[in-house]
Amino acid sequence: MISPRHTKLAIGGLRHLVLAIGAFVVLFPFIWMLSASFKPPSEIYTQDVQLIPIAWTLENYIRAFSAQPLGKYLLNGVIVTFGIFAFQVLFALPCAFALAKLNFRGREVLFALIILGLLIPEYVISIPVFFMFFKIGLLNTYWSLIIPFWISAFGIFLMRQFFKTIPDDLLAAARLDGLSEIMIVWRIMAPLAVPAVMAFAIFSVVFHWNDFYWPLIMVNDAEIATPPLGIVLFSNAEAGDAVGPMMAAAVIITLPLILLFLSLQRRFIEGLTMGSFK
Amino acid sequence: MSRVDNQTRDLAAVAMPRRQRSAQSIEAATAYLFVTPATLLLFLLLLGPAASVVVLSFTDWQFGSKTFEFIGFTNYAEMFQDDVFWTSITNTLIYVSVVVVGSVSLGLMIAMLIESRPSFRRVWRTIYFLPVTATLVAMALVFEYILHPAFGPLNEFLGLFGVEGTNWLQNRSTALLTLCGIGIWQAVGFNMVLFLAGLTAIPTDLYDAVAIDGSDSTWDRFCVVVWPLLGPTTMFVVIISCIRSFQVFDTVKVLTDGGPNRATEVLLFTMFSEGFTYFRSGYAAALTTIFLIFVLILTLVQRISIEKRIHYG
Amino acid sequence: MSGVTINSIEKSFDQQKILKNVDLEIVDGEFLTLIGPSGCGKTTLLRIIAGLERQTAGSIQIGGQVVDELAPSRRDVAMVFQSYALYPHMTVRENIGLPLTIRRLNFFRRFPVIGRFIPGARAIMREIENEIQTVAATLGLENLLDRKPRQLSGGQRQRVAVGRALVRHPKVFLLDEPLSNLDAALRVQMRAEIIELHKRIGVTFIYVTHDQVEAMTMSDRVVVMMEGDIIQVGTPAELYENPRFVRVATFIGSPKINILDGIVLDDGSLAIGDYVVDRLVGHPAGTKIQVCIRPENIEVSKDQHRGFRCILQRHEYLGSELYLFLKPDSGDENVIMRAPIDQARKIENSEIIYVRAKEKRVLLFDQDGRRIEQNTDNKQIGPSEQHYVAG
Repeated sequence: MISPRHTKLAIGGLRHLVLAIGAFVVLFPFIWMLSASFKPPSEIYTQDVQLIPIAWTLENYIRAFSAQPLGKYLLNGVIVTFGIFAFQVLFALPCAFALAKLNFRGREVLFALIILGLLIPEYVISIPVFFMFFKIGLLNTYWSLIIPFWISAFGIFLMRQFFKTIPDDLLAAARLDGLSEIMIVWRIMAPLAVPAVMAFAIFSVVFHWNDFYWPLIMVNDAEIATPPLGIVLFSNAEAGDAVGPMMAAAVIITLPLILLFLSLQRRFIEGLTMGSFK
Repeated sequence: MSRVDNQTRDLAAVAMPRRQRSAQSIEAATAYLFVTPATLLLFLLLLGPAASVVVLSFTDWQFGSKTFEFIGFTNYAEMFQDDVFWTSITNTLIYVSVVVVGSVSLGLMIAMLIESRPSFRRVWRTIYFLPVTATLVAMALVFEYILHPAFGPLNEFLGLFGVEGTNWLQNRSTALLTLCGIGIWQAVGFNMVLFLAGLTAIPTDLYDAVAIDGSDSTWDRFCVVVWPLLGPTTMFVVIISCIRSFQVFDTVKVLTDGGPNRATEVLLFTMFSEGFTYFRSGYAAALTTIFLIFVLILTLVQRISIEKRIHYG
Repeated sequence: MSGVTINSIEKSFDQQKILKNVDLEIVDGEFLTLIGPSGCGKTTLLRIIAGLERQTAGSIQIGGQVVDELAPSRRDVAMVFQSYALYPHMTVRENIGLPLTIRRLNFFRRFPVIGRFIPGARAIMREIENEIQTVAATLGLENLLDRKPRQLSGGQRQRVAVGRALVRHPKVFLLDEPLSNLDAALRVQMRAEIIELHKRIGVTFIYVTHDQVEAMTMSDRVVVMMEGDIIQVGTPAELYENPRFVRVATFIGSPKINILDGIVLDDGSLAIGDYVVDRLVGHPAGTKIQVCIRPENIEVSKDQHRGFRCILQRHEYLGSELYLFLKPDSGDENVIMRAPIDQARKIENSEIIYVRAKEKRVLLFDQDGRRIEQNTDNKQIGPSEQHYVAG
């Protein structure tokens, strides 16, 4: 007779086993990518499959960086995501505050329009916006990647929900103390909203860093390419013998977000999944 | 009679202290200051373009031409008679079905496995969530290598069991399913996290109650407690997965370009091709409108499911 | 038949000992309460009896049968949880019936919609329905059978939880602070109902609470636990009048028992401040003694020379009772005294009052909190030598 305790332990072990097998499948692409990036061509273009490289080499990385401006791609990613996020907050925060706490005519209508905006994915507006930027000559510039996203209906919605939880008394006290409305927004509301803004930051940064569709449309110059476009340009430019360097490039491209994720973990997960509560 | 009322009302308005009135209008003025930039952008960059796409769908405009005409529903008629369109819709729906079923059920199983014991929860969660954070385009290139018929590890691995692997991405019969596999790979972690939230919300007392009431078996616990209480969450996850997978694009563009022979042609890809490769903007706008309608319907259902979730129990 | 024997139970969580070495014999059919402050281990002990937790050492017997290896569902116990643990997606009928449907209908018969067409299913379901009706009638739930838990009040939910336990006719009824989520008035009513229930079905009840009023009013016996140990077992009266530890004395009884610092003098008498209380045998001079008196056991001393001198700080008039808060000259903290109501008119704050303890009502404990039996002639409180008070 197996005691309940032993059955419990066995099932616990089984759980880890199953999860480990699944984890291996899930992590395999990452492991393979990493491993291949250090392999010389002889180990890549072969029928033999080795998980660990036999002859480690940095060749691929050197080639990757010299063939394409990988560093520039990463830099562009930073510029673009920062440019988007900073302005998103700049426009969204006061608007959300007004929607949540101030009385003005048209408030409900505006909020309804925001909700409407939530329903529209970026793909839908790509054709007209492409034309707009073409007309004003800003295609293929940073602006074409940044400006269209300055309006974030989701950001406004999120912050409005957050501001609604702040007691009106706090505002009354601030007004009595003599603060102007602008001061109230940036000196009181903004600091309070930091958790919500941070979650939104993660959502926005990850979304726009990984966005492939938009740069594909707006940009064809490698100088301005964000990481996803960059690596595709790389892939298109290289002949078929560039698997090694491409894996190296892939490592470089995915590393920043993965590191960000590992350091923030829970906040990261919150930030990404809250987007589904739109 | 009414004249007296009007007079009373006017008197009352005047009688309101000046300070109160101007405080109110200051508030309104400040509000307008705060919302105007965002509102302008909202119309200029979001609502305006969205509306113009719908309008555009009724024209024959090609990008670059100076003029265009309104041609009514011609674009839509062409669309509904176009084989490519139907292939695209079919492929998209197949993709959504496979990815949703796969990633939701796997996400649930993994979430339940993780949740069943307290040990190493965070570790497992982090590992399984990793694909969600990875840049899909980059990982697509990695998959291209893994799936390579000649020197990719997958075929090697299958060879160990005597199964012959094919050219997964270039083979008409396997291309779409292969993309589905990649889609599932990235979506499982996301769904898992949503399910974990739902599972932790279940009061642990209920498991005790079932244990005492009559059964310890995992199956009974699942049937009596987990599945019913997870209902709203499950519905929510399914809809989210539908919306996300409906918008598949990156892997198609990078790995198969819609081929081979339109085997992986999906709606967004068709939209993109018509709009930015062939620059048939009017027609592309019609496709976009159809796309928008699908997304709107799905999002509406999602909204309703959120409401149900809040009001449950 | 349904007595419970707890043998040397120990339970540790990660190095921390929650239960140290618990031995207890619960008599068949009694209403036994486990009481103690939060963290004392009473709920853990209850869960171990139920089988929801596994003990680190020791053994449990129910009805003479060792149950340690048995799953909770096989131990023939039923439990009412603090949060009621009702299945929110099921109706009252389904909630009450669940223990029966799970046990009597196999997987196929329980299948939604088509299960009932499997032969034999209908008959069993009818049986179950009858039993549900009987239980519902006992608890006054007949009209609520189709409602869901969120449509019920707190008291109704509790009755459903009880119903679900009742329907199994268990050997032992376990209750984990079932009244703590109810408001005061409802609590009083449900207390009565639970006592009624116990009388009616005569099954062993093991009741966990931190509320001493519940313990005192409902139980045949009370078990006081502190920090993983049982420190006293007895009837409510025994615990109240004869506490073995000062912790038991302070835990039971409201308002709390008064504790005064006493010390043994050279001549063997026990003194509190300047007042000599008693003559104590067998304790060396200088021993510190905790002298405890319940508020209702203090009375005004008609003879000033034979009473403790106190200053009245304040009083609380409750209509039916009057409590005086006195500051004794001995320097002790406030002493609470329950005075007869007719005194209410005559008192003024800052008044001087002389009090003394009623005969044989003083409880003595040593510095470690252990009870000292009086082997004395239990003389009375009185101020210094010349003011000895005879009983």
